[in-house]
Amino acid sequence: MKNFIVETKNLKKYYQMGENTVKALDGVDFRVKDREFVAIIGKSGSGKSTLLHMLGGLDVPTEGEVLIDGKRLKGLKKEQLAVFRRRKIGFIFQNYNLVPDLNVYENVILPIELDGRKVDTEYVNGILELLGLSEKKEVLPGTLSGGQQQRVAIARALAAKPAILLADEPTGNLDSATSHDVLGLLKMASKQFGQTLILITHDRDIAQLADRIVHIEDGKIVGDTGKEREDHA
Amino acid sequence: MDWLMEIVVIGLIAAAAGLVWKNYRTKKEAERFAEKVETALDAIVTGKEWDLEEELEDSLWGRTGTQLEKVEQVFRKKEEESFCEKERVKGLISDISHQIKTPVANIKLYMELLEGENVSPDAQKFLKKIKGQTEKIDFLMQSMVKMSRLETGILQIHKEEKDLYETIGRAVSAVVAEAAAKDIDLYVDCEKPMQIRHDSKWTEEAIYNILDNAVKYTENGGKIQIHARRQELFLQLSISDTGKGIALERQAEIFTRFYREPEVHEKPGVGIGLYLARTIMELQKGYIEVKSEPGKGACFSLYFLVNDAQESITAL
Repeated sequence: MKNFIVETKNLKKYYQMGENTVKALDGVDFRVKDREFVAIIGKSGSGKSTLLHMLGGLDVPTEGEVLIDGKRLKGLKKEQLAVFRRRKIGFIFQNYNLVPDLNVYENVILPIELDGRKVDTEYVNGILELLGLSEKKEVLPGTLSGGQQQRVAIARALAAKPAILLADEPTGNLDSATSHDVLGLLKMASKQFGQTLILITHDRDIAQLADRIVHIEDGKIVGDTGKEREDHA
Repeated sequence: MDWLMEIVVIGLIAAAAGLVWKNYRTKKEAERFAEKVETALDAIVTGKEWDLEEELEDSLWGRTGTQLEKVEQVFRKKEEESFCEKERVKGLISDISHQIKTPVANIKLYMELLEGENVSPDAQKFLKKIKGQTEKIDFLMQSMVKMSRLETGILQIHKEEKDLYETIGRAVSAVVAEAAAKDIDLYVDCEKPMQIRHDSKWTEEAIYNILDNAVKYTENGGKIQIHARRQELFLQLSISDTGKGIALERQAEIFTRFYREPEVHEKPGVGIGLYLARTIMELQKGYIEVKSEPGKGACFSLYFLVNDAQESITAL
């Protein structure tokens, strides 16, 4: 039995701009297997960010469905969606989004505390060690380099033990050497913890680290290196 | 009758206070209960030690706790069974491969004897094919054993602070003859020593698999270059060749089990070299990357963690 942890069916997102209809997503059928690392690549305005936002439940489709782990996001109420998102998904953004007044450790455990759950300190320390942040636990984010801050953001996403990691141009603000390093860590960490990783990027080099590259253009999927294999499986 | 009113009022206030207190107590009980259940479930899932207090109490927690203890036991038992099953499979594969060695060796022997006899050119052709197939069986068996060890997680990766230069050296020496036969230039650029935590035996295997492919897919007179470079988070070991390259759509597929480029169907090999290499790197908390364009050669890069945790044993 094929287990798709993320699935979209004929996903559409249309915006009305006066007389024109902007088709951000125009019928997207997209499926991701558990533990897969998929890179979604496309130019600005191709619809890749919109797709990621749909997958993360941050935006509602005009038509079509999003299923996460077999569960339809459509019927969920706002609070249910928020809780679902918090428990199943870890986000990593281009701008790190760390809280400047909290130190590294506090930033990493913030989502867990917000959820009212108990912090598994052993697990969190393990992640910090894996990402090379053990020495920086008590430090404030402002004193860290871009690459280090993004590592903290990754640790934060991993700490809550989500099933899926969604990353939106995580290396956009980093130089290419640091980008490669950080993404390598992300790839390795997601394999270690058995998570599915869906990454958006415009950078071909970064995309090559993935198991599968999906090409999106004008709101439609125009290429998928995983397609052939799916048919053969 | 004022005092009656006072008594009633006081009574009501007392009752209200009592209710608030009771409500507070109940809420606290529920929170405590939820917390205990969460801790217990977390411990069961992660395999941590967990103590059931108040075992014999007939309280709400006491009863649920006892049930959860049963769940934990069932869970552990299943884990054990799974482990034994894996051991059994590994043992089976080992046994079969061992048993096959003898008949295969015999076939090779008789073939060699046959080759020495006076046989027709057609027969010679057939003999050659049989020889190739036998070698393939041999290779398949060895690969199967290696793969089953890695897959079932029985295999342990032992990371130690060792010289990567030496590890590379051993892998290179295993392909030097084949490379020389094709007049391929092998070049290594690595500090000596290059100390890094890694499993030198399995890393050698991973490097060898990539080198073997490089030699296989590179034309005569081509070049293979090995560079080792320490970066901030990872140590990069890249192996580039001037061979035929790999199309973008196949770049993820080549790491899957039994994948082989259609052109090399006749040559020895089974298609798990890269799969093994990737598994070996993942077990060491590293990863592999490939950069290539058809006709422009390929560059495989192995990344090793520079800041590594102290655990020296990792099983899948």
